[in-house]
Amino acid sequence: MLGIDIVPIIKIKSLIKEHSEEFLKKLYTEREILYCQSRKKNSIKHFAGRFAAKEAVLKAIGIGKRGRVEWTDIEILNNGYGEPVVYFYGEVLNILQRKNIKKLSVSISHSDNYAVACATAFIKDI
Amino acid sequence: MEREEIVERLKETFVRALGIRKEKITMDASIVNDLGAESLDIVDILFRVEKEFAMKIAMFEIGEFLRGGLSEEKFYDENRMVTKAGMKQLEILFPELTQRIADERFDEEKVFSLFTVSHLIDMISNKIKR
Repeated sequence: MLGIDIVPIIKIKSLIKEHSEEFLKKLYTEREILYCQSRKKNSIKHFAGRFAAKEAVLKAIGIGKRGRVEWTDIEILNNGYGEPVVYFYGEVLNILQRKNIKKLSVSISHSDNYAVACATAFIKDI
Repeated sequence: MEREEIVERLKETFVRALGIRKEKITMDASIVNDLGAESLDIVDILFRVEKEFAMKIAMFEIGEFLRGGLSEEKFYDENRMVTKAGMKQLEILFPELTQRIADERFDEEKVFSLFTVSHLIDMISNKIKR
């Protein structure tokens, strides 16, 4: 199952500028915030990419806007090669189990204006 | 809080979140189709509602509202299309859409697009009463 999402970077930029740290904490885990902020000048692009990835994951696992899921139940970090790795918590874990999803891969890219992400959910281990 | 006050404060919230003119925000305007809110805008709007009205409305609560009490499993089939039971529920919730509901097939996105300014006011109002 496939999910894709695109986010205007300027929108994330204005939301982060306008709202408090509380808003960041609603969308991102502590580790995601630390990672994105460590990217200094590119931090907004990384926040945007992570949000697009979370949306893409929700679509790929087939729950869209319906699930009782917090944004922080899906955490997107990077491994040593810089590849995004997804960690799940809370209700999402039950959904993955119910839908027999064994693996999920995500790819993120961004230009100056947009961040885009694609997620693929695999029913069987490959 | 009176409904008129909720309406005014919510209109201001929409203006700030979406950068649209106040006149565009009618009670029957679809938040997605007419006001042009995308998913990140909805997150923004719900965050602002939380601050403005000191209450939390989660995205899934909008889904629950639109299903009118029907469970997800009964409302959507395995392809995320609305079931016959779900369509009946939509007819009850949106009697003005009976013809459209009979003619079209509804998926999750289309159901979500039925959510109007007035519905959000109802949800806020109900939470305040509680």
